[in-house]
Amino acid sequence: MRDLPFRARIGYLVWVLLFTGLFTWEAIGLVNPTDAYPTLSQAVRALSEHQVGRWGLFVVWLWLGLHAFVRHWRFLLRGSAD
Amino acid sequence: MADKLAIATVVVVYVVTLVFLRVALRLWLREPHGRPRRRHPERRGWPELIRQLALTYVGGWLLLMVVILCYYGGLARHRPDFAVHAATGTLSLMGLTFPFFLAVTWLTTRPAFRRLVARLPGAGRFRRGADS
Repeated sequence: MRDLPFRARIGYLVWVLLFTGLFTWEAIGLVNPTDAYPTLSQAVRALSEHQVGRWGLFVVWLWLGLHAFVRHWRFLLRGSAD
Repeated sequence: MADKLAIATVVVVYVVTLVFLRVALRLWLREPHGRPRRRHPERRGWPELIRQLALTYVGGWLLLMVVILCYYGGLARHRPDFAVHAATGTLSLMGLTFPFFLAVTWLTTRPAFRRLVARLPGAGRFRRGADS
């Protein structure tokens, strides 16, 4: 457990880099409205054109919701005693 | 105008995301195995579950609608049917996910399921997070 702060900081840095890359790409796509740099909405629209893509997006959306809202729920909000 | 608005939105969301990450890191370092604390832990059972679900689902949906009306309707000037589609589409998704999330929550709190998960590789990490 001694390496937890280090792991937390590395995880934080990785997320910051990922989000920075994602938002930078989005900004570039917005400034250059060409197919070379598709924005997120263009990418989602392209994926949504195919049924497999729609299912994939739905699964990703479920996964996000599960981790953001449901993962630490207790059924009927029971305490740790159950 | 639209480009400037879109860029400004991206910048604002980026800053909010980084603030969120920073706060999350501080919380984690302060209490590595901490869990969200309930304001009223004595409230349990169906009434509290319904209240929490209503707050999460209905409250979240209302907040989303406020954002859509303010941003897409007020600032970006999308067509009115966009807001209608946003409202009905998100309601449909909520109707699909509600039973799914409820079923997953029920399943993951079953003792048999927990015993099964405890036997999986890396289960110690999961167990610490789930039981603390």
